[in-house]
Amino acid sequence: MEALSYRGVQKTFGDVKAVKPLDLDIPQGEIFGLLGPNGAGKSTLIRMTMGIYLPDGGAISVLGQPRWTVASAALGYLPEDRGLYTKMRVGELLRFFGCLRGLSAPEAARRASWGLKRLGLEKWENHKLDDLSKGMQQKIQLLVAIQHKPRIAILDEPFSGLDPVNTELFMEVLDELLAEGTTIVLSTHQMEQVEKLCHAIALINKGEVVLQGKVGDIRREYGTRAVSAAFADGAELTEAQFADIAETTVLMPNEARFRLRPEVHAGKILKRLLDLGVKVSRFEEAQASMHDIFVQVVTGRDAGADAAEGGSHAN
Amino acid sequence: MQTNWGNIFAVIRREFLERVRKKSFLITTLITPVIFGALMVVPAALQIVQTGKPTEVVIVDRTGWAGPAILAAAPSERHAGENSLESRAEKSARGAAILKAATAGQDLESIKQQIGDGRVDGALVLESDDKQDLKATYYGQNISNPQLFQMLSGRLDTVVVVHRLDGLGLDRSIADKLKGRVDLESVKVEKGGKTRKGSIMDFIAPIALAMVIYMMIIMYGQAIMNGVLEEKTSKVVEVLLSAIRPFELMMGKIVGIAAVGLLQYAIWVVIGAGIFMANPMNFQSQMDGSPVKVLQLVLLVLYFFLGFIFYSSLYAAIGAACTTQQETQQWQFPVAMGLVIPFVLMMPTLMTPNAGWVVFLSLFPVTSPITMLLRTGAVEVPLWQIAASLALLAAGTVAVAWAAAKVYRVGVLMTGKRPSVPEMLRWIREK
Repeated sequence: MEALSYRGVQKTFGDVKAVKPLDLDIPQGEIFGLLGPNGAGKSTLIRMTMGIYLPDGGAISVLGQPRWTVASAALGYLPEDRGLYTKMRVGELLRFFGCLRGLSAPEAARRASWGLKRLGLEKWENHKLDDLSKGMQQKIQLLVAIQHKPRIAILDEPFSGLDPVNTELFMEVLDELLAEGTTIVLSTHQMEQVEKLCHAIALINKGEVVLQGKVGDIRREYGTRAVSAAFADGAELTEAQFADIAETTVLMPNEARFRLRPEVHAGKILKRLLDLGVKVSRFEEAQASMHDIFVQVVTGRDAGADAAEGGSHAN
Repeated sequence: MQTNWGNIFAVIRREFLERVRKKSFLITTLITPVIFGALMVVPAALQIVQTGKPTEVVIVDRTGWAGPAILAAAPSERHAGENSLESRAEKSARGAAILKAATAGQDLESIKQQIGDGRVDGALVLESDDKQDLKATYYGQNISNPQLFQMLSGRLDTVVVVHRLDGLGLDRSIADKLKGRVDLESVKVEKGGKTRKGSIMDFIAPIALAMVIYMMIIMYGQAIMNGVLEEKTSKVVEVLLSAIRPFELMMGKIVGIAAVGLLQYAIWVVIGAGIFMANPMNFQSQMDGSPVKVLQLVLLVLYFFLGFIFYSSLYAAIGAACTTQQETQQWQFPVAMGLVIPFVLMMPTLMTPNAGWVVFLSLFPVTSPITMLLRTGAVEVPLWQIAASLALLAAGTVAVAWAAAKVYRVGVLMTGKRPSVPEMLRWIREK
C-alpha cells in the first residue's frame, strides 16, 4: 500500500493547466522528494493532497483510502507560505492545531510540551508568537505539522531560512519521525539535502512528472558517463592516451577525471590506467549531483559535462 | 468528510478566548456604558451649568393686574406625573428664569437699551386693549429659548384664566377648581381586551431591541470580516484548511465572535440592571408592567440568532473574496444597507405598522430582523406573519450561509486575481 497514490490527477486555473493528468506513487516509510522548478505545479499538487483544492479530475488516495475519507490526524503540513496566529501564545497555538488534527485536549497539551522540549523552546510556551525570532517561529510551524505524529507529513521547504545548527536539528527530528514510521514528503530546491535525505524523488515540470525513481538509481543513471581516479604516480600521463575512450580528460598530478565516450564502459578507463602502469589508489564512477540532473532535465542542457570537468555544485 | 463538530468547537473556543482576553475587549465593555451614561447625563448637566446664571426677565405691566399675578403665579398646576417630560422641563425652566417687576424709572425704551447692552436678558410687556384683555410681548437678545417661553406662556394662561373667572364674579375657590387642565392618559389594549397603562417605554422598547440587533450585527459582522481577512493575509488559513473544512472554519468563527458579543451584552445588561436596582424610584413609574413582553424576548433571540448568521456569512464571504481592507468597503456598503433601511424607515414603521410595505419588510429576510421587532413593539402582529417571517429568514440564512461558505472556500486562498465566474460556480456546485 502506497502512502500517497495519484491517478490521473489534474487541476486547471482559468487557462493554466497547473497539473496535467498525473500518476504518481509515494511509498510508505521513506523521505520522498518532490522536486521541480518554481511554478511547476508542486504546490498545487500538495494543496490537492491536503484537501485544500479539489482536483478537477482523477483520484488521490492516502494509505489506500480515498482522500476525502481520510481523517486529518493522518496528515501534517508545513506550507511554503508560513503563517500562524502571531498574537497567540505558543502553547495555546500548538494545542489549538493539535485539536484540529484530532487530538484530545490533554493529548494535545502533552504533544505540545513534548514538541517544545524537543526543539528547545519550552521556555517560550507562554510567549506570544510575535515575541519569537523567525527561526523559532519556523520551529513552531514545523511542530504544527508534525506534533500529532501524522502518518504522512508534507513539508514544503522546511529548511529555508534556518541556520546550520537548526537545519541539523530539523534533520534529526525528521529522522526520528521516519523511525516511527511517518512518511515524509519533502518539497525543496536544496539539492544537497535531497541527496542527503531522500530515498526517492519525483521531478515535476510544467504540471507533469518528468523524472522519478530512487535517488541512487537516478544519480547512477545520469552519472555513469563520468569517472574519476586517484593515484600517486600519474605525472607522465597525457590526454592523448585516453582520446579513443574518453570525450574529455582532465589530468592533475594526483587525480584524473574522464567523461566516457558513448558505449564505453568505465572499466576501460581503469584497464587503460593499469596498462599504463599507474598505481590507482581510488577509482569511482562519479555520480551526477541532483543539482546537475535537475538542471539537465528541466532545461534539456547537459549539465553532467560540468561534473566531469570540475564537479560544480552550485549550492 | 462530514462536518466535524469538534473542529468547529475548537475554532469557537479559540476565537472566543483570544478576543475576550484582549485588553480592548475589557476597555470597550467598560467604556461603552460610561459613554452611554454620559450621553444621558451630560445634556442635563449642561442645563444645570446654564442655569447657574438664570435668565433675568423684567416685567413691564401696563394692565395693572397681570404683572403682580404673573409674579405670584405658582408654576403650572397642570396635574401630571412627577416624571412626565413636560413637568420636568417646566421645573428646570422655573429655575432657569428670574422674573421681576420693572422699577419706577424703567420704561420700555430704557429696558430695550439694557437688553441691547446685555445688562438685562429680556422684558415681558403686558398690555390690554379693546379686543384683548391681555396681550403679551417678549423682548430679548435670545428669543429661541423654548424652556423660557413654555414657562412664560404657561403662567400667562393660568393668570388670564383666573382673571376672566374673576371677571365673571366667581368665587376664587371655584376659579381655582376650574383652572386645572385635563390629562390625557394612554392605555394600551392587547389581545383579549387586556389593558395596560402606556408609557414612554412602549415607544422606546422596540427601538431599543432593534438597536441591539443592529449594533451587534454591524460591530461583530465586521469583526468577522476582518478576522477572515487577517487569516488570509497572514497565510495561517492554509494550515487551517489543510486540517479542517472551510465551512467549519467559517461557522466556528461566526459563532465564536457571536459569543463574544453576547457576553459583552450580558455584561451591559447586568450593569444596566445594577443601575436600575440601585435607583428604582426613577424608573418604576415608567416600568409600570414590563413593556417588553416574553414573546418579544423570544423573538429577539430568534431574530438575533438568524439575522446574525445571515449577515455574518455575508461579511465572512466579503472578507474571503477581498485581499485588502480597502477592497472590502465597496462590498460592505450594500450589506449594511439591508440594516440601515429599516432604521431609516423606523418612524413610519411604528406609525403604520400594518401598512403593506411594512408587512413586506417584516417578511423579507434582509430587513425582517429589525422591521419585525419594531412592529411587534408597536402592534400585535398576527402569528402567521411572525411564523412566515421566521421561516423565510431561516431559509434565507441557510441559503446565504451555504453560498457564502462556497465563496469563502474559493476566495480565502486567492491572493492575486479573482476567481473566474465559471470557476466560482463550479466551486459552488462541488460537494
